[in-house]
Amino acid sequence: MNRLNETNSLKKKVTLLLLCFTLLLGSFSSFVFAEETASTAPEFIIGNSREEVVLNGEWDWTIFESEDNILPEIIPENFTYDNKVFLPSYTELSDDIKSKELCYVFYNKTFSLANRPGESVIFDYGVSSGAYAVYVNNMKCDTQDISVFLKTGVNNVTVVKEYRQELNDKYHFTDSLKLVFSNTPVITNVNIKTDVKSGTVAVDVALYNSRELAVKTDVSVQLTDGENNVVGSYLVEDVDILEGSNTSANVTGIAIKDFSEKNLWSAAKPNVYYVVVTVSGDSVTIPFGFIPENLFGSEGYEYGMDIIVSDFFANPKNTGYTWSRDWVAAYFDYIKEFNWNVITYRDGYLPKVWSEVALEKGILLVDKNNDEQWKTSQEVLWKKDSDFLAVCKEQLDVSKDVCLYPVIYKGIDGLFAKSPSFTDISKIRLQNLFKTTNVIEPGVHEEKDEGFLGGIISYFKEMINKTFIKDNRYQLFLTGLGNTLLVAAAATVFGVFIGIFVAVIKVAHAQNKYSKKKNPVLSVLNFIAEVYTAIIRGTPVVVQLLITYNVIFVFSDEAVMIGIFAFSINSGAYISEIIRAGINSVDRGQTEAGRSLGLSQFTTMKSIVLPQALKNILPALGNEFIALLKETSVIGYLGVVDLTRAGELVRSRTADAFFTLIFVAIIYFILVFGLSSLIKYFERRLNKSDKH
Amino acid sequence: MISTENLVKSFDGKKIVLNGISEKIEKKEKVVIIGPSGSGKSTFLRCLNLLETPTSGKIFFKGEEITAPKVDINKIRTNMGMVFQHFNLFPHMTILENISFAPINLKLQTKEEAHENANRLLKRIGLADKVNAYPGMISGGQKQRVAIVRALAMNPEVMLFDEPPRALDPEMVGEVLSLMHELADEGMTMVVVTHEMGFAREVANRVMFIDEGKIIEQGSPEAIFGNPQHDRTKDFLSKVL
Repeated sequence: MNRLNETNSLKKKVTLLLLCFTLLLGSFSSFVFAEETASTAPEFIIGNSREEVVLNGEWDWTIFESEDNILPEIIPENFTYDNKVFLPSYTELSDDIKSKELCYVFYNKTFSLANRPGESVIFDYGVSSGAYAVYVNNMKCDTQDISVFLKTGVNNVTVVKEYRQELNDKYHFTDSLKLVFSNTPVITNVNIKTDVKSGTVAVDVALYNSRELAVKTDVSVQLTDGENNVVGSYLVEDVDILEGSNTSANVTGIAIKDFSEKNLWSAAKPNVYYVVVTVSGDSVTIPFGFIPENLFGSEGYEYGMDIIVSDFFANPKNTGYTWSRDWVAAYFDYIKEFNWNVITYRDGYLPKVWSEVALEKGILLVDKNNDEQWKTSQEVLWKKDSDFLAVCKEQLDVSKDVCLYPVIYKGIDGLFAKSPSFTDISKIRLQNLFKTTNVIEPGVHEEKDEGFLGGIISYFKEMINKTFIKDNRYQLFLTGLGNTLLVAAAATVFGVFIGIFVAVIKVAHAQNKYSKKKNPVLSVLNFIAEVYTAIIRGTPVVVQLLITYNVIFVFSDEAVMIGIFAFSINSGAYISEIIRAGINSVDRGQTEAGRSLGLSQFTTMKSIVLPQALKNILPALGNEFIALLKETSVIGYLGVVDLTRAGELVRSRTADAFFTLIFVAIIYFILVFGLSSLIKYFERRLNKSDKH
Repeated sequence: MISTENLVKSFDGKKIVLNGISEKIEKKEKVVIIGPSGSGKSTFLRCLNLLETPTSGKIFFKGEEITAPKVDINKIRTNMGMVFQHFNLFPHMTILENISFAPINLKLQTKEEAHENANRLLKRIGLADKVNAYPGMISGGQKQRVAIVRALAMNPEVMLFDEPPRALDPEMVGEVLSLMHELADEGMTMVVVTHEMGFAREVANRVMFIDEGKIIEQGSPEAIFGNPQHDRTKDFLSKVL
């Protein structure tokens, strides 16, 4: 999805940029003899060449609000960039921006081109949700002659990302920024899919031709390993790209030479490969790695790193492999190559070999659950005495002195850079690197015998963490339990009201069957009651629930209320039968005695019969409540988070059906068993009072 | 006081239990109804306060036709007390409440009056100390006497008894019959269905023998017990006496 959006917004931006440059070129040529060049853009591209500018480092930014919220054609003179942000990084925009519905954030940077030393280009990028503009030398761009791409290292498409409301109001900057000026076909996107079982790679290459003429190009795809050996290749010949259009070249099933799933990782040869895509005029190199199957197989994990690190450390036995000292040492060396020297982990479980080697290699291991080392995620960790600088997690305030180099990327927060400068390649490599933990040392297996019991305990520890602790999932269960109890209890209570009403009508009508006085109102009410009971008992409760939600209350969204309503109506019918049975179980003589005294039918029912019927009704009511506890498990159909649904939600995140669902079943069982025992106890007490 | 006109009662359209009974019961009469099981005697009694609805025929109470459609039967019933074979005391109420509930609820007496009345009645039967007990705590004979007293608390004009001592152990029968005897002596109009021939002989001023839904024979106790006319009467009496 992201790729699609980016392609579309890329198209927009490209078009705008092209317009920008046409205009500029046009105006430039008319001012070719003018000394003053401040308001014209230099001719960036000469012939069929390509110019790349890496735009990392410090950027200025500011907020722009206009009355009509349209982007200006020329950067206003009163623009003062009073904020700074460091790219690539995470940063959080100030509250000023968050509070506005619509405003633009302008980023500004001045750079120079390699083939024009001494000449500088002012680049402004104005972005808001849904709109953007590129300015070169203070003028809004719209030229078609030149393709301008803002390339990032992650997936080779734009951009300085638009401001968008993210979960925590984060403003993403991606990995690195490159400004590419090119009028030859450009690779705008490369999609890589790996198949670990067959050791093959499928590559989709998206191309863009900005010129007014169609072009033809070959697309060469080469796979290399970490040591620049070519391990696979394919050539797509003569790909046509029409003027100003996109096209794509797809290659599937490129086999990797000597690929072996088992040997995906070794100390000598880490699992990092590169795709090198070359077209005339552009080339892109992207690292990738193979993800072993069934690694974490669930959609719940958004960010690869967290799982990797924590699962890695949480239960090494689970990965099926162990580490040798050499391997760990090589791992740490490799990390250090990219200037990373802090690894965070959770769960407190750390294989001994790790901490020993970490000490040797100068890698700092930080336990996230250890409060001493690590404060809440909202704060900044300052480590003055160690090798690395601040680790700022999530909340960043650039103006404060506390954190100078915001460096945490969502997704690889296990690793922190020592200094602000790092290459764009390093992060992706590492991301892909850590996508696999299928680690095996060829020929060496140090089986640490945890024992059967140990294995079970570890499994439970892990499952408990995944199911309950992570993301506070236990709260989901609590909500579910609460809703289940609420709906069952409410439905019972309302059902009792309905049930009494219906039962009394039916009993009174039956009593009057032989009397001379026929009460027509009672007959009508009785008819309605019979129909009601028959319908409710004759249709499945789920159907009733869905009808209530989709037909009767189609205008409403209050799923819990609607669920309570439907279940109340439903249990009302069953409870009316319970009450009726309870009433009929009272000896007829009681009614006769009451009526003989001259008491009305109503009084006799109310004061003589019903109080005695209660003894029989109450236990049955209790059972109805218990039945409702289980029946309401279908209320998930409406989206209500009851206990069952909570279990399902967690199951979809942990991908472990066994633990989650068994747990849910156990909770239901405890509820039912506990309540049944309670009811039996009260039943006994009620009956005791009879034995006088 | 009570009269019936061709009272017929059948169940489910098939079994005819009362086959056209026309009879009068005068004030202060003590009518004892005897007969074999299934003869319809209980049914007849229960028709008198419309606990059973006659299939056809009319019943009059103090000149008013109570089988008429628009009659307030509850009001009529306050003037007729009924005592059941199985007592039918209300187990969830105390003895006091059993006795005073109806008068209070029907606003015939205030709470104080009703309680005073109840206490008086209980004292009369020697159960004043049971005033706050529950029916479950007293013996059968006591229960039945409380039942009688409960009916009396409504100041009825006629008392209907449906085999009152039938469910009692022999040693308790006496106390119930004594109470009924007292009531009779006080001038209460009574209709009693019973197998207690001794009681019939002592208390009744008319004995009615019902069999197969019809009054076969009736007369003074001496006449019926001493000199039964019909064969069926003789047959029955020979079995029970």
